Amino acid sequence: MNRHMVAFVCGRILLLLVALLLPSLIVALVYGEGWTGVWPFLVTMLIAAAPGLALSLRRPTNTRIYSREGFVIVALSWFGFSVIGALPFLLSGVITCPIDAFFEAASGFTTTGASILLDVEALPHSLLFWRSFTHLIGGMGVLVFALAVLPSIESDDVSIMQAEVPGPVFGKLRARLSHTARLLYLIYLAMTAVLVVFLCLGGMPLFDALVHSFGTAGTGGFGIKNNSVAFYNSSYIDYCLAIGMFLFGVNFNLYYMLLYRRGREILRNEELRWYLGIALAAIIAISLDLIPHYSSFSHLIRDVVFSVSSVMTTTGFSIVDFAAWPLFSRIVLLLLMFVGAMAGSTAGGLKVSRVAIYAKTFIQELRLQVSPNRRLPVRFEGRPLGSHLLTRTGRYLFLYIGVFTILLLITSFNAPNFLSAFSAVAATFNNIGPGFDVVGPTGNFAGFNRPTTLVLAIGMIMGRLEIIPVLVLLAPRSWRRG
Amino acid sequence: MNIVIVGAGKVGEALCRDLAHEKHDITLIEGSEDRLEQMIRIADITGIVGNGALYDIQSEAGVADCDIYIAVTPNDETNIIAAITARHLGARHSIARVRSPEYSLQMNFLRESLGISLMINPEYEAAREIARLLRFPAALHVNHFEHGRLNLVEYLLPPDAPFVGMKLRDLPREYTRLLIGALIREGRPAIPNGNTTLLAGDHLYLAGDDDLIAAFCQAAERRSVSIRRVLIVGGGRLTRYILDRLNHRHYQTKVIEVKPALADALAADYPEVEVICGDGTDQAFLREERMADYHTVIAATGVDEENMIVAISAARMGVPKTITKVNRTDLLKVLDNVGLQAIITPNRIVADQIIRYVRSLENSEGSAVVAYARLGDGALEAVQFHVSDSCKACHRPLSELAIRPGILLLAIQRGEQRITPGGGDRILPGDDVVVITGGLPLRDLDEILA
Repeated sequence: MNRHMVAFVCGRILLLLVALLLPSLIVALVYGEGWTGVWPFLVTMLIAAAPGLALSLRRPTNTRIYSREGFVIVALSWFGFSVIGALPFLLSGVITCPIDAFFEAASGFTTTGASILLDVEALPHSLLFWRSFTHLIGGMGVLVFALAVLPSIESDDVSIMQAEVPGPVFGKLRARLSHTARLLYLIYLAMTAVLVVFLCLGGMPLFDALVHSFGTAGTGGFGIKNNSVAFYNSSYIDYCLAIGMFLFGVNFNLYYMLLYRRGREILRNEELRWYLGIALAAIIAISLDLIPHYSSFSHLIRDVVFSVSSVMTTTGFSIVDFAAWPLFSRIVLLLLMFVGAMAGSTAGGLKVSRVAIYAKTFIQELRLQVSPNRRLPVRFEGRPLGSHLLTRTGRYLFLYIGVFTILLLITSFNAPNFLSAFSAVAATFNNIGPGFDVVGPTGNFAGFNRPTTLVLAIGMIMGRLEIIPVLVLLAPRSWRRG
Repeated sequence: MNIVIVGAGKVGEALCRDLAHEKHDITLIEGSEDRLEQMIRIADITGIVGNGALYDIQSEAGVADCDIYIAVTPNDETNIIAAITARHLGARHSIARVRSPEYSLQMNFLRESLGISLMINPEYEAAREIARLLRFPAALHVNHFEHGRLNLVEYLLPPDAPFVGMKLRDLPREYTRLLIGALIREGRPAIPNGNTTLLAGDHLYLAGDDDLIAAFCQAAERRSVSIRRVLIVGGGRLTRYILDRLNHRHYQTKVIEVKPALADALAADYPEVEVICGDGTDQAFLREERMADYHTVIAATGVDEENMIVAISAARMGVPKTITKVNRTDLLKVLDNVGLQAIITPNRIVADQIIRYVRSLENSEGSAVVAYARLGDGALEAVQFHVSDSCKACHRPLSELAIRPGILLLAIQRGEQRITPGGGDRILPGDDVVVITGGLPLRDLDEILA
């Protein structure tokens, strides 16, 4: 373990956090919140800057890092961001318990959108902005951003980015890593800006448009109204956000191809077809189930499309209390929570490509039972998958189920019923936000006791980083020499 | 004695040289005519071209009335068959080199029922030596006597050691029980006395209590070296034997092997060991595997040159101890100058063992040679005798014996008791005596007397 380099990179990333706190401070000034609005951010910046400077002042002589360090850096930075990102909530007195504040910040950075705040509308603008801005930062990844803007890290190693970008395989778009990171961020920010414009055209105030665009871009889902997007009561805004969420759930490599006029490849992309297919199937299934409950067909379609898009992309905005839907529809949504969106997007969950590979593996297994001597590769994206990738993808499912079970066990101490406990873990571990029953769109995570809140917050970070970096951070072998 | 050797590989060559030097009559059986002629030019031997496992060839070589038959071809089965055939043809003793662990397991059966007197496994012996080296981190080489109870440790005195420039009798009091049995200075061997001054770069041969030797080395190094993390490059037979001998609770071990099949098999057989599949000569790869974090790197691939590269790069990265397996002894002379430390030569170990065996046979009436080691490229020898009743040096105090110059009595072992010999001590029948000599090869303890 190259501890000097780990400390150095983490220090640099803390300095980056100082810069990222600046926009919220400006918002506090713009809205005339005065000293009470400004000082929590100023103090947080100072608190982040002190260790940041101390750790990154001296550049280590040995800058070589390998995958082990990559995982540790990513996990440490995310925990560090969540801890320091919690300080503005604490210092301003909006949240009094440190664990609650950590939960809220982790929920922001991991783009979960689960909240323990009972009355969001009571928050000052600066804090609302900070909450949603963490979605924007966390969506594409803290370290991907760091690689894009901080040439001083100068790590040509893909280990950091590999550890942070979700999905079973990591696609490098350009030869140089910093170019890839910069390009991804450009696409990401440009799409966010376009969404802001569309929302403003729909009559949304600029601040609300910004906040909701951040929430959509990171597939986070923090709102600024107590009843989320339903407040605006506008079909245009609902469809804007539904399509926006869906587009941010697409692998960003596809947008890169679009930029370089390789549209044909996009149409051939198998994961995209699975993504569209699963979403469409879910919409049809839920619509059929809901027909007796709706009088207006257009309302029905709007609610279903929005909810499916929101849950599948793991965003968690809501325009309707889907926790009140019939059981079949709720179960379909619950299943969508596990599927998630495409790999290489800003969404959480298992990812469509993994689900597709699992489905194909099951089919392959069936066929092999029929003709045992047959050579039968599992094909995905037109290519046969290597056995190494297959076993790794398969093992990820075991890991996922294992961690999920442990989280469920811990949460069950403190939950009123099975659906609450199960959906609370599903909604946080998959970075969605709202679940069902007490944690449904109209509910809240404030009902859980402190230890459960802490465990769920750690679960969010594990889910966002796809488990392994956090486990590597905790494994004693990573810290032993040799 | 009449000795027939089959196979003129590296071991065969070493045996021909050394045994001919000790005035034995040697017949070499070798398949290649060119190689045989080459051997006849180097050593004073005679030879036959052919397959040494065949009855005809053996008869022609006079195996029927030879004393010792030694089979050291590269092939285990050939060696075993040749040794059995020779025994039935009339050879009094037969020795076979057997590498495969499977045959080693049925060693007792082969010895008792089929009459093979000695079976030697080079890799196994090398692994034992490496395990001993891990016990003495500062040692270049460890020879053992008295069935492992006495270690003779070769140690290179570093330039900044506090003992440099000191006379032996001025050494600090706590080291009075430490014996410096021999030293090699600039390639020349010497048997030191109290007036000898220690110089930097001396190769010292230390004997005595193991803890005392370790304390002396630590004081000389000015730091304590304890080996916890061991990296082995190469996953062949030698590595397996080493892993068998390591206490896995004490050592954190990593093995790097390039062939996936071998690596998988190792990982299956040694679950406590971290097995890495990759090229151990690739510098970037070794850095990724954090070679610099290890206390010891053992280069044990099948290729001498690769082993040397691994060891040199380990030393460059700051690994405190490297152990290098080198089979071609002519490469060793080049090595001393590039900072390689401990070097293990399985073939030389085998040759030493066979020579020890031959000597003990030679002297079946007098005091038998129990253990034997060559020090410093063969310039010195350390020999352990089991004292017989007829020994002339017995019963008298050592001060009254006229011992030849250039001979040092290192230790007397009497049952469980070890005596560091002084003027008043006596040798008794039944003792084991370890002697270091720089002159002619010793065959009997009586030869130490002038």
